[in-house]
Amino acid sequence: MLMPKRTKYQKMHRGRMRGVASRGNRLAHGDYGLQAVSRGYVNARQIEAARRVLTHNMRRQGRVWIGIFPDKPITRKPVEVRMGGGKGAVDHWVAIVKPGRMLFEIAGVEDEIARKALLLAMDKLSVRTRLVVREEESLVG
Amino acid sequence: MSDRPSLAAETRSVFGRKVAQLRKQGLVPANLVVPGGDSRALQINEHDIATIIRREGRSGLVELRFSDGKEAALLDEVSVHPVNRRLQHVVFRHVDLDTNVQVGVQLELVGDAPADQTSGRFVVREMDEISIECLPEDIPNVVEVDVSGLSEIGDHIRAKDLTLPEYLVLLGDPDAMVVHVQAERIESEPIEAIGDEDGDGAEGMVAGDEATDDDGDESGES
Repeated sequence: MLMPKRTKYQKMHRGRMRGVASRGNRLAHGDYGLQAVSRGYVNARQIEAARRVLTHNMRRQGRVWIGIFPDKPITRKPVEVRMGGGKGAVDHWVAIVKPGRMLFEIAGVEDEIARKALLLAMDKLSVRTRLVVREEESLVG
Repeated sequence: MSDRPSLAAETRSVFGRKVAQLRKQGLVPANLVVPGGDSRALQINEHDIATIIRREGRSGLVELRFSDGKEAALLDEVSVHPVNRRLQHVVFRHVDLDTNVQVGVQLELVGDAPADQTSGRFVVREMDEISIECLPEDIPNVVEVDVSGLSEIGDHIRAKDLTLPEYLVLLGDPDAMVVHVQAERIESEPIEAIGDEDGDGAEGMVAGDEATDDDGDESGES
């Protein structure tokens, strides 16, 4: 699974995730993509599950780009532990996803295969997404 | 030029956050930038400008119609909301029709690449638009890139290889890669994440347990 190789600090505050994705919101590499339309955390396991679905359904053809990286540590206290005693240990890693963020991009497969793979990958993610196609992306309004 | 798209524009008196009210009324805030002069705040009909952008692309020459006259302007910057795809703002640039301008024009791949028909390889586009210099009247909607000659892995087309009409001058790095043929990756290869300059991407980071059962700690590069 994806996680940082090293970090400056072990643990992080929750923070806020207001606004929309001002960057990484267009197809940069592929011809098809999954774009977030809601906000939330996507953890490393979900990213890996979606990636596996994509590569499996693309029948090992084409290429996949992942537009997010889980660089935020989420901590958990052990079960049945009284409050206090400091912050819990790092449990997993998440990526903060804002509406508009392009989560996955694929290229090199036929239209039907690409659409099917991305629709299946949608189900693996904890944010609502939509399918974006390069030819239709330039349309406005 | 009679075939130049024409657009009705009004002077805008609403600024800042209040322009959200304009958008609700189906109007798009815009600015006409005059190099060396004062820019002018405008409001235009969203449907009209969207129609022009769909037809002409994002780098065309338009004729702005004001109550007191007309003005030729270049569509310079189009801001689209990343989620609802509605137009947020448009910047027009005043142009002198006799002076060359520098613009970015969308690239369009044409032809069937033999590499796409062959298993194990496919065509990767590295560039979406290209910078050119020409007279405002000569700005093309798209620059076509013929990919029918791309068959083997490593075949590529660089910016200098593009067939441009004589009146278009290529700007930027002539050796910049436009498209190339790449081998398809098999599933066991390391996952690749797209890097970001501000650190919310994958720069300097690797795929965790994937890196242990594969060869890779190269996460960001292809």
